Amino acid sequence: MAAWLTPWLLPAAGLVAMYGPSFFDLLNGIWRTDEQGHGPIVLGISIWLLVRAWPAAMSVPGDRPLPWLAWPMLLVAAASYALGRSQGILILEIGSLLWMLVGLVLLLRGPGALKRMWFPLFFMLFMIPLPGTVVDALTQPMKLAVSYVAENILYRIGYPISRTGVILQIGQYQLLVADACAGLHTLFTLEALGLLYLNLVRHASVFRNVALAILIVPISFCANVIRVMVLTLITYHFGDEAGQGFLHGFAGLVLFMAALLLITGADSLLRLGVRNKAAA
Amino acid sequence: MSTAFVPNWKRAAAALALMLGAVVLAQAFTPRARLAALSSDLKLETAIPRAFAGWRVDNGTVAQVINPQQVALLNTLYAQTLTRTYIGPTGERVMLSIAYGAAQAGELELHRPEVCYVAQGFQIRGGGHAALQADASRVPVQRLLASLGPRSEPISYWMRVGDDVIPSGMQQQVSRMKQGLRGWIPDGLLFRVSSIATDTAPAYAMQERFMADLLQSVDPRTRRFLIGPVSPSHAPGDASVATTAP
Repeated sequence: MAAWLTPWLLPAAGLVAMYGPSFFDLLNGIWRTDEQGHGPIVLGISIWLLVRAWPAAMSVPGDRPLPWLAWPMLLVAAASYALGRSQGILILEIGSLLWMLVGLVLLLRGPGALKRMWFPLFFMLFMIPLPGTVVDALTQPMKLAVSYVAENILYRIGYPISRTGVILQIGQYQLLVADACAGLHTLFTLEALGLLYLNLVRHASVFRNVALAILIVPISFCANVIRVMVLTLITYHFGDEAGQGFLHGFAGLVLFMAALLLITGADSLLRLGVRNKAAA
Repeated sequence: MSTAFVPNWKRAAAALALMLGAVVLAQAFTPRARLAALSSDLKLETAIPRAFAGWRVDNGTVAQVINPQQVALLNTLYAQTLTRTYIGPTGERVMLSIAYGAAQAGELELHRPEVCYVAQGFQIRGGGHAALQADASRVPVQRLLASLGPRSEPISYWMRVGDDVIPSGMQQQVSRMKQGLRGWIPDGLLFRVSSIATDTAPAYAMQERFMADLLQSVDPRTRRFLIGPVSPSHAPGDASVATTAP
């Protein structure tokens, strides 16, 4: 056992030297913000998944290292890290960790081990902080769409509501749909948790896995619409104080409850569909 | 099997060497010199004249509604901000807003009006580019049109990141990186004017006249603070712009 473990101590030390300071900075920086709050959770889960997949990955029979593929990856990783770390470009700095890990596994073990570890590595994608310009570009249309749908539903059921861009006017109250409410980060968090759920449950059906993973995107959108509607109604019926006070947190809870229900609901429907197909 | 691990050790050691090399390289290229020295004692409040070329500060403007969260964000983002309304020779009104950040890095980057206005609920349309001629230097100006319900607000702005005056957000990153690789942490300044008008063409013309008049009226040091260049390579022997270590 020690024989296969010990060569890993060297690159492990290297990883700590490279990414220890990076994660320290993240934990004291943007991982504290609402928008990137899922980062540390994803990191923790990734490490746990890696540890879990490790023994199986290290004992794939006949696995051979592929240095010709590994070295270019390691070089890309090192260059991306050096540029990203020195110039403060997080997507390069943290993204390089993935290249680094893939390169190391290919260099010291082989493609068989990599195959066993694909999910934890893929999962790490969710902790790479996206550049602000990308987040803004994705958030703005989502905000507009969420406001639009929330306004229309409430108007149809008879509330005195109107909308200018992302500002909702209900009764005498005016609400601005904030960045956090449009929920790019809730989408990420839900997608990450959904994938984790799928991975742990280990459905046999590939179709069901893929379908559910894709469905999480509209589900997270619906959950955000529900959240904005709940907040709007709280403000309308109980006043501004309630909408901005403790009930704001309550609406966040509603979001995750709604998303959870929608996910399990969609999963049950898919299971039914898959079973019927199998029976036919 | 045991022979298979001999090359593994060598490879692992080589990988470690590469990784430590990346750490050293990252350290070596991390910029440490701040370009902000010029501004250390420059106060926008006094450096920008209250009256010039027929323009004067409108003291009668009703105080703006202050959003406390907004103020908190502005204070963390910027070292100095200045917001004024000026009245022109023929009674036209223009709102001036300058935001200055001493270090452009990650969270502390200047927020472009495209993003700020949209976050406040405005809809933004690009209004094209323009260029100011200020003596020898040409200042690229970005035009925008923000609208919220019936309110239509043409905006002209430029951004300075270290030495560069840049029109777009992508160049903000590129410029920061270019100067970063030379070892400098650039400072950043956003110069924005806007007015309330539905007829945009004369509004943009008026805004550009205001900006040009202001650049002509300030002293050379303030001018360089507004449009650069600020780095020591552009000003040999000028003690006021020497870089300081943080």
